[in-house]
Amino acid sequence: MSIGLKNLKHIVVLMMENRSFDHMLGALKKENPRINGLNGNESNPDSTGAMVTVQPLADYQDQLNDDPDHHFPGTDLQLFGGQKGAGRVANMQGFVQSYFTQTKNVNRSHQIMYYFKPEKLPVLTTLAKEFALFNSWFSSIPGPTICNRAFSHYGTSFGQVGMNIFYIGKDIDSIYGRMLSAGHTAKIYYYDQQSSTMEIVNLLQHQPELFGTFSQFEADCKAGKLPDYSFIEPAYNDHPGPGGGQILASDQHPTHNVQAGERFIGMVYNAIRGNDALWGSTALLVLYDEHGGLYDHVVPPDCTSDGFVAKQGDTGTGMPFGFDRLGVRVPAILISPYIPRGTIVDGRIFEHASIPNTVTEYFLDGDAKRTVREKGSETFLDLLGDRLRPDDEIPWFEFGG
Amino acid sequence: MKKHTYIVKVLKPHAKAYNPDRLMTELVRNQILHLSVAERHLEERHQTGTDVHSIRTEREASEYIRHLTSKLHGTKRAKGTARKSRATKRKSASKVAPKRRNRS
Repeated sequence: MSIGLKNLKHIVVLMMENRSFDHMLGALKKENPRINGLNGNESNPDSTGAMVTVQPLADYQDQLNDDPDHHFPGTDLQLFGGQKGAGRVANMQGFVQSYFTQTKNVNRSHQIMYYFKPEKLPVLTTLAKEFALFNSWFSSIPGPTICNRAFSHYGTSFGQVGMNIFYIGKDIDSIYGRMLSAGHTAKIYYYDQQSSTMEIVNLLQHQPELFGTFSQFEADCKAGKLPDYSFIEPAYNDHPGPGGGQILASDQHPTHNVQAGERFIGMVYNAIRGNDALWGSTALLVLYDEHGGLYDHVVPPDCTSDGFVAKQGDTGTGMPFGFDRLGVRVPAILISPYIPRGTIVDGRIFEHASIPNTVTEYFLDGDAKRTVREKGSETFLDLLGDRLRPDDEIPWFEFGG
Repeated sequence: MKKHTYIVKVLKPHAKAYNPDRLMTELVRNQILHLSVAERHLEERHQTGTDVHSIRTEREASEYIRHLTSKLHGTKRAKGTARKSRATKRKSASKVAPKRRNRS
């Protein structure tokens, strides 16, 4: 066991919304060829048949005003380029066509191929370069938010490929229930009451110990009272704040402001980094729930089924889905002072079931009922090494005006 | 306070980034639909009677979410699982959320 693992007391997960790996971090390949990003010549056909190449033109807001389709049928089109039937092969050629179905405008449909220049995302790119960047972390389902977030909480979506949020009474306990039952502490920190959490309905039986707000997270970090496991949710909507203030959605869901999300990621990081004892005993995972309909060039691999089958009437594709293929790749970064600078995690496939599996293996010695898929998913704490990096190697985010 | 030597500056979003009067995302729409199911199991005095289908903007959604979260957070368990048999008179979102401001 590494020194970093011996010292580990807290795992924190921050899950953002709806951005693909290539859209956010694909440009980093030019700086480091080991990063599986963009060469710059990746393309998709548009609705006229013209090829559209990826371009570094992504902007913070008001560019993807028609929310790109990321439901199961839309993602199916993006992956398979419109092929139907048995024997089809995913080729990642249907993103522009898919976005055209919403924009009805050929030029605007090209925006789905835009990606960010690294300098526009100082927080995410700094963390990606300084700590461990996963080349192959995929969303769990080629579909939308709720079923993908379910995998991070339960290791399964109980057969759902859509936005149904209710999992009450299912026989796989959430990672929070598992932790509390074993005498550990766990908490979901949502931004504030105007934003709330997607999980509040399912986890009412653990009220109020399971929920806190982001300001409580910051206070818990400062006081050294962070639970063993924490899951953080960004603000999902713009709304008035205390004293006439303005709270921006920080989830980065199109078309919410991406800079606001950058600041939020930086605030979560700084809250941990600001307490030396906490910093040395915490692993922070920053990742996205799904691709949000945005282009990525890597074909999602097959995976072990979680034992469920979504019927063809539920998938919207005319075909059933056996939960045997992962969704589109998303950005994922593991942060700890025990991770060497510039670590690229390659050759291993991660997905959101890796989160409850890692927490269950580490805190509970694997003692909890899990799906076969969760049990077989990769865990990530082996990335923590023996060397505690000195302060002058570790970034600090300063928020300007 | 500790002095950090490796500083990364992060700019603030543009002042015009704030737009609570934009239409809510589909994610937030689903969130309020699910909260509305939970609302049926709250004691009647805590129910808003809001017709959630009348909620359109993020401002309206956030006000509804705030009300439900404040009632649910701290509640030991939602009462019962059966849908209320007695129909509750539904109010439009504007009755629980502040009026939408016109943007120039």
